[in-house]
Amino acid sequence: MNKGFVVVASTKKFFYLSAINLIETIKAYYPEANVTLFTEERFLDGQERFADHVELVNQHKRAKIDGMARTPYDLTCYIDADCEVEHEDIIKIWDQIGDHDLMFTGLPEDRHYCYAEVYFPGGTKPDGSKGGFDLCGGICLYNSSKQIVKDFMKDWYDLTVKQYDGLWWPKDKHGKDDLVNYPASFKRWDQFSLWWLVNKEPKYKDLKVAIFEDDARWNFYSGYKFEHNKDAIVIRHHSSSPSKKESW
Amino acid sequence: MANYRFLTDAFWENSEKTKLKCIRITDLPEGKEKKDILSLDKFLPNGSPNKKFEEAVHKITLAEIDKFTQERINKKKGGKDKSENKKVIENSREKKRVYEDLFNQKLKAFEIDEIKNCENKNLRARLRRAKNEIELSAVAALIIGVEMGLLKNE
Repeated sequence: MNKGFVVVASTKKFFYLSAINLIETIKAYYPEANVTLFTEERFLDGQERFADHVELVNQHKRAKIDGMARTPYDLTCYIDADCEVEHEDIIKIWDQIGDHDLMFTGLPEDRHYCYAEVYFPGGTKPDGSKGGFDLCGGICLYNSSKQIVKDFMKDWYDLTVKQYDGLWWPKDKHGKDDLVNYPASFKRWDQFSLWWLVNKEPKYKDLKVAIFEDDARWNFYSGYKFEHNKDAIVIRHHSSSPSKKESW
Repeated sequence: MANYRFLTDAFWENSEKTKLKCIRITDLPEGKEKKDILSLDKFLPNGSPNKKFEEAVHKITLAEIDKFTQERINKKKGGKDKSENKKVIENSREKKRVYEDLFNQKLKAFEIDEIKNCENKNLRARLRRAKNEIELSAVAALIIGVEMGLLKNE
């Protein structure tokens, strides 16, 4: 089973430069790592030489999922471009997969201070308690050798493109966009299409989705308190504000 | 004798329930009222029971005083929780801003031609690991110097 990292940089030069930085940090702690960079041709400035393979993607805000779906590896670790690796344990990331299909980091309640929106009415749990997003799409380890996982990635991409283009949204009983249970603010957020497929799509009800062990160290947001991780931080996530990204 | 009544928003000032804070409203001529905020001890300085305290507890009732005392504690705690939560969010944002600014500066450095083309892995790693803007500027200058042939590349 071949394994490698997928990094995607599209729409802004910021993401391209971030991706190069990320790739260099992966290689610094894990020189044998295979890394494929998915990016737009217009950004190439020679620094793509740090990736093992370069593939082109179209200019789309969710080219990320396109790159994830087109992974050349059997076991893939996708990392958001605005992350940095800072620990040698990156080499152990593959051990997390076990017999799961997909692994993410989590969004538990004690870290909600760091996120804008987590709960929404449509995410309410069967026992009536608050519910919503519990998977963070910033880091994803997936067994891309399985057809169900390949299908999932393709469906996630297709659904997200439809969502962004205004061609898909859950309907209410009157056949209109259900904005009561699913706020309009999610309309341009791939986190929602991920939630929908994992929780509402019958085809994926048996998909084995899990959260990393000591997950905060694998996707440590720079605003996090240092109490969320047990062991040293492996991947730091900058997740810069959109306004800053716009200036690039 | 003046007519008066006690408001029910009375509370214990100590956990032993020997100090009561309450409001007494006394009727005055011409439909006017006088409001007194009372702090009553269960016992007088000579150790004998305080009749005013007993009267207030009897009229307001123990259950009402206990209930309002608890509500007051909860309200105070809620306010404290809210302000602590706000502090956590502010700290988080500030921490994020500091990391974000340094990260953005690093990326800008990688747009400089000499740094972009630099093949010296050690220097590139030093730049990436810079802990603050001064270190970042110093390493960036070093790389430019090396690339321009002003400094030795070792």
